[in-house]
Amino acid sequence: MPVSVTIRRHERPPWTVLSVAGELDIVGAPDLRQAVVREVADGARRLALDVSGLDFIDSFGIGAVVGALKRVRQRGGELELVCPVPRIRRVFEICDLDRILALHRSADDLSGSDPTRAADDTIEPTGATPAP
Amino acid sequence: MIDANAMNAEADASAVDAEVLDAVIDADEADASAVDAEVDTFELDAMDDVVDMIDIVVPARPDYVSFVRVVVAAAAELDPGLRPSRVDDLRVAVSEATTNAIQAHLRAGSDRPIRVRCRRAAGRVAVVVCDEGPGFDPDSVPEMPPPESPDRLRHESGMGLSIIRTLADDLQITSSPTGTQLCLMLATSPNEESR
Repeated sequence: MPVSVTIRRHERPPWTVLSVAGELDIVGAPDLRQAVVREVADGARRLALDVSGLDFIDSFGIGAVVGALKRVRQRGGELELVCPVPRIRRVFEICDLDRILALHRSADDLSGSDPTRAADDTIEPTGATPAP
Repeated sequence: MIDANAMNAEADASAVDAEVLDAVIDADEADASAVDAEVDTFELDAMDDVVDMIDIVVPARPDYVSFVRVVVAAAAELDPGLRPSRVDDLRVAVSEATTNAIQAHLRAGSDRPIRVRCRRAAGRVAVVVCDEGPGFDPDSVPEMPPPESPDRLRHESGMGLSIIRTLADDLQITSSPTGTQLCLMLATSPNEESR
C-alpha cells in the first residue's frame, strides 16, 4: 500500500509539534491517531498539529484531529493547529471545528511560542509512518 | 449522443500504477454489468447533454479512495466553468461518498466492487457513487452536537454526509437493503473562466 501520510515530530517550546504531510483520509488518518496516542502517552500536553504540508483532508482526517483534541484535553492539555492552506482550512470550517480549535496560519502564531527557540528544532520520524 | 466524446477511466488511466489498473479492469469485467442495471435507472440517464463520461469500478478497499477522487477531480478540472476551489470541494465530496460506499461493503462482508460514474454536462458536473451495501435511511443520520458541546468530541466519525450536503449544489440519495446510490451535483458557470 502506498504511503498516504508522513508525520514528523519536533519540539517548539512549549509545544510538541507533529507536522503532517500527504493525504489525511481513511488510509492516512490511523497513522495520525497512533502518533498522537504515542505523544500523549509520552507526556505531551501542549500538542500542535502542523498541517501545512497536507494535500488533502476529509472527514476521516477531521475525525483524527477531533480524537487528538479529546485525548489532549482529557489530560488537561492543549491542542492547536497550524493550517495556512485555504482548501484544508475550509474543511475544518465546514465541520465548525474552527469554533473550538485554534487554527493558525504560521507556527509562529502558536500560543506562547518562542520563534527564537525554533531554530533548535530537531526533526525525526515518529515511526508511525516511514518517511519517504 | 455521448459516445463521440466518451472517456473511460480504465482506458484513460495509462499513467496509473499498473497493479491498480489491472484491479480496476478485472473488477469491471467481472461485475460491471450487474451494477449497470441499477445505475441506469437513476438520475444520469436524464442528462441528455453530456460532454464527458467516466465510469470507474474499483474494489471496495480503502486504498482505492484516493484513486477515485484523483480521477474524478481530473475530469472536473477539464470544465472551465468550475473554479479550482469548487474542484477541491468536489474532491472532498467524492472522497466522502466513496469512503462511505467502501465501508458499507466492508461492514457487510461484501467482496463486490463499487462503481463511480462521473458526467460532465452543460452547467453541471454530476457524480454518482453506487454500492451494494445494506443501505441506510439518509433522513435518520444523526446530526453532530454543536462544537461547543462536551459531547462533540465523542464523535470522531459520522461527518461525511454532512460535508457532502454542504459542498454539493444538489444531492440525491436512493438507498435500499440492496444498495445505495448517491448522486451529487456541482453547478458550473460559463463565466467562471473570467473570474
